[in-house]
Amino acid sequence: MSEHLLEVKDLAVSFSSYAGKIRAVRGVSFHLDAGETLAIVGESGCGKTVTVKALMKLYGNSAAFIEEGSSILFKGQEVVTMNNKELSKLRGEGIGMIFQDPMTSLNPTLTVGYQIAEGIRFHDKSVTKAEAEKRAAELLALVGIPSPEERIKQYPHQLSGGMRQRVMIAIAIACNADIIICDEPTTALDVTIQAQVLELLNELKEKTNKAFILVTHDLGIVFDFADRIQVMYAGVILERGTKYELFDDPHHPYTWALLNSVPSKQSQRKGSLYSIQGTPPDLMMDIKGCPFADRCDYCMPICKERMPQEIAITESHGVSCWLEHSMAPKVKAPAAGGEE
Amino acid sequence: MEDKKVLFEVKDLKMYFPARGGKTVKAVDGVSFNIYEGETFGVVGESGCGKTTVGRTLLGVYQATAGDIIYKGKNVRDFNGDDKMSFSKNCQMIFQDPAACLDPRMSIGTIVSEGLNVHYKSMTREQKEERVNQVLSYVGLTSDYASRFAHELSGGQRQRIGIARALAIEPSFIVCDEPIAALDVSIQAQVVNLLTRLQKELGLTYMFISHDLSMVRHISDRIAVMYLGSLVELGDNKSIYGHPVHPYTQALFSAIPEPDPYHSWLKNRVHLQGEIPSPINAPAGCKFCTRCPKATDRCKVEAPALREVEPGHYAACHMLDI
Repeated sequence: MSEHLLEVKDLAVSFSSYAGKIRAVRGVSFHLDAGETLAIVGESGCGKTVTVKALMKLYGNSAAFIEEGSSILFKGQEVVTMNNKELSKLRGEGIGMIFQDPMTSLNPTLTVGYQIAEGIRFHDKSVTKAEAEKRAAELLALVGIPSPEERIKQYPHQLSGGMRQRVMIAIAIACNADIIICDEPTTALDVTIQAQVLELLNELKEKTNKAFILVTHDLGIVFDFADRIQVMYAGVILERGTKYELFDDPHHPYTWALLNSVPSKQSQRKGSLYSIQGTPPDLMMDIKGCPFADRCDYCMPICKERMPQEIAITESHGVSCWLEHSMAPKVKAPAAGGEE
Repeated sequence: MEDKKVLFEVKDLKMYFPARGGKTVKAVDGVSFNIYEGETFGVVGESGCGKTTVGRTLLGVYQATAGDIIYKGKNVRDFNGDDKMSFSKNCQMIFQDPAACLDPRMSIGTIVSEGLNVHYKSMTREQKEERVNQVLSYVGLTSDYASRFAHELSGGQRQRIGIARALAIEPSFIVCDEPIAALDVSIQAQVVNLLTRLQKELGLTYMFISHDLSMVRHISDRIAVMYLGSLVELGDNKSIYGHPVHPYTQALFSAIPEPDPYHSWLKNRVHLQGEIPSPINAPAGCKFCTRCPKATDRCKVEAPALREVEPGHYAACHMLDI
């Protein structure tokens, strides 16, 4: 199975806090191949960002740690046991990351040219300062920033939000990483700028053979960008599949709810939107059954007792729900557009 | 259309803020519209277009630089003390960030009843408590919440408290300034459903400010589209979303992400070059001319006026002359 570019198995990440252990990610497994795009969708606090940060052990001094038994194989190498030197090589060269908020993730006291060149020179010591700067300007041109030679001398505050996000993308691709992780890349941007940035990412996808992981809560952008989608909730993956499978034939009640709670062009105006009652579970607690059971309209007694196994519907489409069991009542997904 | 009662009449409203170096930020630059009783008036636009400033100026948070706001037939500039009190009782606001707009040291009960102390001085403590419990039940919370503090609540619950606080003094008009921007999708639907239900039950009028275009389409009766402090298009929901005529509106709406893998909205959208210019040195003429795919020489010198393209549907664009 080691032919996958990235293979994650039973990844569990916890945070220690004064009140106990917070189990943010509770055993997720997935893989990624070169050239494909995987989207991780879920609400805030479902563990999607924690999952992708774990791929590079990007926790700094925070109280997070990867639980025993987790395995992250990048090109066949185990990431969990890597030392700092190996990790430094992995970050940037192996996996690049685009963060959510370009305002806080760029250093305000350094020029954007320096910040792009920093990674290039770190990973290849033979590159001179002038060469790295030249490369930075080329990267800025690649991400669609006009007059890059002048822009590399500017500071982040002199750029607009969309341009800052383009700089972030330039930094992420500067060292030819095989995987680019986009953590909510357009959340902080306006819709017209969001469309521009997504278009740029799509272009990069076509030009290069990089693999992308898109982390987002916005279902609208997922279907245009990703090949495969996995839906996360309370630290586990509830459903996964290609975008067509999840759109045409979603199986999990949470996926139905996510798809229906966004007003679409067809949905009835002022009709009530489909909404999920309640709030996600407390991640400090042990969750015995399905984490979505308390909010699920189709909850059965078994749902609160045992976590369902993932059932394969097709080779690429899997769902963890007791409704798939042969003894469960047959329910149909609610029609899009809400009630009334 | 004609029998609707006008609640607010806004005429050529301007709100300028001083900026460094003697410059001015023209946050709102000559905006006119009416808000009718019982409707939801949506205001959309990208960040920095002045939509929040319009809402705040309307409620008197800012003193307008120029222009008139006429509330129920009376200009707000001519308000005396009593008028001001009744205006602030009737017109309330829900804020964007529910975490920032609740005092962390006050209990929810104190936060919700604060307005009562000003507007219902004769109420006894018991009556106030009862009122707090009543509005908490409006927003779907039990009375136990009155003794809790903001940090004990989730984001969606905090936003409900923000709504309960606005409702406590029985207003008739509420400015909802990005009420769902800070919430998760499943919680957004809860809050929007709540707002729609309250409007039906209490006969409220909303001004719904948001950059979430699909939510505005869902909730609003009439919609105003703003760009760089100006109104570019105004009309009822159907005509604005069905056949927008202003190039900016067309581009903006085509950029709404649609969750559909078979039809790529990204490829079919109207392309806009560049980004919004700064409101400190907005372009002369039509403010959209720097990014407009159809701009002509005339657009660069002469600002277009809002004209009626069909009954109740207005747009400001020179292209509509022909």
